[in-house]
Amino acid sequence: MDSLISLAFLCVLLLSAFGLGRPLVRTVGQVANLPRNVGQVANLPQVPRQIGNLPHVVWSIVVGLVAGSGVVLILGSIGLLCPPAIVLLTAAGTLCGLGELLYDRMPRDASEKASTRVSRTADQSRLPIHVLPPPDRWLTRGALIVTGAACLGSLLTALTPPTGDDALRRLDPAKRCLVERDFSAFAAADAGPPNLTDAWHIWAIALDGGVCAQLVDWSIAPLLALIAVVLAAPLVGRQWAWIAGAAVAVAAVGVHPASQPPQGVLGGLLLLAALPGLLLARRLRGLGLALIGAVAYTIVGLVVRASPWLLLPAVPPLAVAATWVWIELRRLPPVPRRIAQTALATLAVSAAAVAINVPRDRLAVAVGLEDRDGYLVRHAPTYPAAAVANAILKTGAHLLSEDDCTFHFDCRVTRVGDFRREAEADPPADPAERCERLRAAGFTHLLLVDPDESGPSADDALLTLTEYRHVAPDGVARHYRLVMLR
Amino acid sequence: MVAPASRTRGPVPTPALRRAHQVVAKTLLPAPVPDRLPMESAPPVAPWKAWLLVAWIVAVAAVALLVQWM
Repeated sequence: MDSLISLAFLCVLLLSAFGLGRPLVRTVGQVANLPRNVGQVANLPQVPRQIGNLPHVVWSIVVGLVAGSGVVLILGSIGLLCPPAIVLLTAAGTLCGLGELLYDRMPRDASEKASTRVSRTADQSRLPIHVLPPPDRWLTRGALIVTGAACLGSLLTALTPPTGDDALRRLDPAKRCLVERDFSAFAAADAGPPNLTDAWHIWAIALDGGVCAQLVDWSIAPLLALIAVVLAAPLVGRQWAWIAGAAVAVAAVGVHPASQPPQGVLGGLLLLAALPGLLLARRLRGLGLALIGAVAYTIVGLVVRASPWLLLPAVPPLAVAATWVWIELRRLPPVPRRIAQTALATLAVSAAAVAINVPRDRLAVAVGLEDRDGYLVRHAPTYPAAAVANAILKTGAHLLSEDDCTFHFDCRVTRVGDFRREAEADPPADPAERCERLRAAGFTHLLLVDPDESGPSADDALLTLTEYRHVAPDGVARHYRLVMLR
Repeated sequence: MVAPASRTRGPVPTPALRRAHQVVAKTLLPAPVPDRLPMESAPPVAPWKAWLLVAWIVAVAAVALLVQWM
């Protein structure tokens, strides 16, 4: 049930992005006038014929995600970032999206239908004839199975509540931003300035939580795959375009900035293995321009030292090139052609196998056989304390945590390391004096880890709210204690 | 009055400039094989080039699989 709710929030977020992006795309006027004037754009004659309204949907969602992230970044910059503002943004976008969908389905008058039909016929008459042979049936089915398996495995991983350090490195500052109402948490965590992906995480966390943020990350790979389809359809035709989309999905589906360790290495190597084939392939109209764009984007990303994850938009043009190399493999002699195809297929299958290799406990919580609370109690050491704190702490509570995992707390949280670095480089030795100083600094509660060894022991100044022992998977047991400063 | 052709003509491009112009034009302008790419009459790739490509693909695949599964 929790997974279904998170998936529903993902759909709402994407619908909202569609609603925000569609008017912008229409304003820009690139492709937005195609749905009701199909075929009237002279320089894009093949796209509507082959893949319908897919370009408009894809570009609207992409532009809407960027626009929504821009609004989130602006809200954070002026100190107005809070869940109600983001919910309002989402509601406005969702209403716009629903309106756009309903408007597209409204019956049109006869003259508009006639003009559309005439223009479509005239447009098809001047369409180039593609003489590329269609992909083999085994290739189509294999690509479908491999892509489906990779996407499903990655989806199950994304439906697991975030617990590991890799998963929380970017999600934790994003959640803190919603509490602090600005981006100071990113500076405190040495995470650098927030970027578009961080804005998406903030958006998703405000709607649902960490799982929805991971689902947004997951949805980027299918979105990139659809972009590859849109990009490849005029170049290699509809059927091969879906093969290019499958290659992108396999290459990008495991790469999450806020999820488990990257699984997309094999998929990326699939493209790396195929691309030198361009030296043997014939030139294809438009492919050079797409590759120049991808290379220029990658160079700019490397120069400004952008996150490797932000280089993913360069993958669709590369996948189109890899698809063209696969087509051109037919010009090779039979034996080397079969060897090359087998090696590339093995890489793709391995990438899907890595993505679908979801541990059993994650699988159970992802499909709903185990509730998220039970999973988090076992895997997140601070979750029991966070559950108590979220239930009883008031809005103005300020927690000082000795554990760096603070994602599950809804109140304002400061880590001990950050506090000492900024305010208290030399804490007093006397526990009572230390508590007094913490109270003066504005803290109301403490999360102590192994308090018998390192934490304050002025019991008369502390009221214990919860206390428990957590055993990590590596066998290390730690003692946690959530206390209130009196 | 019409100016003589010697005055309207621009400076003669250097070989390097001409070459750069050719590279840019060849990259950006539509390719000479735009829409029709018949596979049946496509020239076959030379065997040594084909085996070179296969060696690269197999090497990348082998290294990737070894690193992933070992």
